[in-house]
Amino acid sequence: MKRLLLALDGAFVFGLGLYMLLLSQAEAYGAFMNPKFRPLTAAAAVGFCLVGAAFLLRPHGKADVLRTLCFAMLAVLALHAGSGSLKGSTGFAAKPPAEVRTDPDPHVVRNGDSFLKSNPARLFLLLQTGQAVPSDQGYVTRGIVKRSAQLDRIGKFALLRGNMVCCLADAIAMGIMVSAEGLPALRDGDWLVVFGRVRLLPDPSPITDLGGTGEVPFSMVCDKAFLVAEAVEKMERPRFPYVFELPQSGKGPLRLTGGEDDF
Amino acid sequence: MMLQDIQLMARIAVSIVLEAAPFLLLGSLLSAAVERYVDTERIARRLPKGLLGRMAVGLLGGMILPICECGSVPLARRLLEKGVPPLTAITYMLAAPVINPVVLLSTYVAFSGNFKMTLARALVAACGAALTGWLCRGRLFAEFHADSIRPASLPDLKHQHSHGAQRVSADGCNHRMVLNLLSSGASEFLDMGKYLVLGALASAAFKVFLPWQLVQALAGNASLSIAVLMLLAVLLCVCSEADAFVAASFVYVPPAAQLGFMALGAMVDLKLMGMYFSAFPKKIAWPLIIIPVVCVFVLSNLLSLLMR
Repeated sequence: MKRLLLALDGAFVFGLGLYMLLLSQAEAYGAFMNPKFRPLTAAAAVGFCLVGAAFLLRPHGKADVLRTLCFAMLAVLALHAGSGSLKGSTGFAAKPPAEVRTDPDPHVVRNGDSFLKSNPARLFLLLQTGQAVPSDQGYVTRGIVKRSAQLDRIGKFALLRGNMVCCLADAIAMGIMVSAEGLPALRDGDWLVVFGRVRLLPDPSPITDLGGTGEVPFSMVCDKAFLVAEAVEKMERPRFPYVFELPQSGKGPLRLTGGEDDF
Repeated sequence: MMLQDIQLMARIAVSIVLEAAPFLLLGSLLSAAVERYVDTERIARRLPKGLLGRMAVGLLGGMILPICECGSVPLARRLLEKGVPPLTAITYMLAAPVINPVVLLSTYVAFSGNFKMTLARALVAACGAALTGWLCRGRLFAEFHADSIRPASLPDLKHQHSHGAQRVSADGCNHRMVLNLLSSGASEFLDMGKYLVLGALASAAFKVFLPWQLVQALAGNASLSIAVLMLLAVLLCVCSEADAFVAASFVYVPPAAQLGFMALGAMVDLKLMGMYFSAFPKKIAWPLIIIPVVCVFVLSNLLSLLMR
């Protein structure tokens, strides 16, 4: 029994290494971790394979049923977690997307007007940290619809995007309130493209009844400004639903962080 | 409970393990290396005898050896076993994840060059670590230096390690030395890793099923926001390398609450609590949790008065 448990322990460590190695090479990685940590995960994966193999060859220490069960549970969790919310079932097979790409044209032209691409998390950080936003600047942004009683009362909805710093555990859905006339019926979880302009709120009041989005369990919406929508279009959930903005994003030069889906 | 929630919970738990496991492995391998190849007894004899000196060595060690909180626990346990004074080892264990240059730089960047916040974080964490080390040193000395700690588990580690070392010297075979080192590291990782898995699962469950609306409402109250953010730090298990960016995102709360989140999270969170109970007896694990919580809460409140 002891030898079996120790052999299973070694196999779990070795398996964790293989899983990390596979994940670090797959598109699904972005559903768990910020893609900039791929090299770290890949390096650690090699380490786990080595120590797992060493443990299998020369088991060390006492067997512990609880320990073996915990790692068995981790294996079940990893299998159940799948490829996350990345669109399609080929998350593990696909090659990773370009992680950092500077779009040569950060603008989208619609009906002759130019709109600057910016994801909702970036807009949140820009506005909430008090950065001045030109009132004539048009923005195009894409995100998940979130409604709440508080927002319904003021005739707005929140447009959010899951923002990950390091891993999914620290992800927060961030975004901006949107007001629009003549909207189709919107439901929580709908994905929208919104073209609009920012208007500051004279009397900010925090929205505290948002909850999560399904992609990320915790949300924050900017309470200092909102987006007056000039056009709203429903869209399919993007292939890459998360963004990787840092708080200083609002101050930095314009750049897109997650490839073509990052606005 | 919806299937989507369960899948999200699984994904968050796996992501915490993916984030923390490399650092836990590093700490486990360092611990195994210290056990086999470092003559810490000799180093321990050369450490200062005074309390302040021992505290300073722990803090200095934390500054020059960047290691995440997951890695510092097995390493500190091994240092204690090898005769390093408890005050130095515990101060090192709690301070290293915060006061190392990598984390301080990330704090500085996350808060857009706010030097006061960076300094405040280092000060609160260093004070919490030193105070905990100072208050726990008597109990730890009795446990470790009387060689009576966790008779069911640690003596086994010692037993295996010492025999391994003897085999190594007898064989003189490099590849066997490496095999033994890696296997010891794996054993150490497995011992701590079970608590990492349980802590990650608990954290994921809290994250998915916690009524966040209530948390947001409480965080709006200045007097409660520090406690709420400290609670979040415990529940979310965010790595110390990244927590400054998460804290900076909590723009609704006052800086003192952000400070409490950053200072506590690297010393006490769900996964660390499990590791403390794995690495130390209960009568030491509880103070390792309670003292930093009280210390960070008091200091964050005091600093909030200064930061106004």
